[in-house]
Amino acid sequence: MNAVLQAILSFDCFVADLQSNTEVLQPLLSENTSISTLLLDVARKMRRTNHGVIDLKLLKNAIDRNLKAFSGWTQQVILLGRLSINMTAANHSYDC
Amino acid sequence: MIVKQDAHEFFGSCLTYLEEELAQIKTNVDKAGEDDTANGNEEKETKSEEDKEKEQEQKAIMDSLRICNMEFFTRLTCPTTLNFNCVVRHEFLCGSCNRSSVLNETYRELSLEVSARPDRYASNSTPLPSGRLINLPRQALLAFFCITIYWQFAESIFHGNKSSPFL
Repeated sequence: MNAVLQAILSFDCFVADLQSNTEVLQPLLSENTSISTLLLDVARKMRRTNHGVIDLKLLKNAIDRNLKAFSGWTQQVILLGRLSINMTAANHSYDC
Repeated sequence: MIVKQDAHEFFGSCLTYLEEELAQIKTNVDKAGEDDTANGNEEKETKSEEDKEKEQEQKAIMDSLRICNMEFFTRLTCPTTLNFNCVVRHEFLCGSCNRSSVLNETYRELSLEVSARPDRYASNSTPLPSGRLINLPRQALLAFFCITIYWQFAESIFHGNKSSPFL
């Protein structure tokens, strides 16, 4: 999520387009659930000097509600499971 | 069963989600306008006063948006579409009868075949494809297995030379 957000929000023209749309549509967008508003908020924080750690909890919650495949920690758990299987297989072949 | 998704799929899903959200707002605004013209100012008696007030407030916002930003709404384009979409013109030429067909397709990500496969088009009956980007994305996302890189196209590069670096 960190890498994807850094990639997507480093495009200045993407952020500028997002900002122009969001400014006009602001009354119709929910502050805590709209991905446009939340992405723009993260982009603004990223562009501040000495921004420190940026809290992505609201954005993650919005993604959880709408992108079921990425909700919670399921993807990390699957990846760790795969890693565990691969490590076991590698250990087994090393032992042989 | 939960399918494993990688960062590239997450990236695509986020952009789709953003696109859908803006499309939904546009549909709601258009629909509100159509409802107004169809029903006039009729109010449903079954709704409570509070609901009516809330509805009127939302309608007022939509009306002001529609009237003040008519020009904006007519060209409202999602940042995803503006920045990542490109149109590729595919031309298929049949090796045996020389007939060709043309197809324009919109892509958000371009799949590049890294390894050349001359055996694939060895038969004369298999049409030879050729692709040309006719609408460049501002940003192009290239995914090669586990490595994902992105290029930011400087518009100035294409002022003199309209051709794509992919061709």
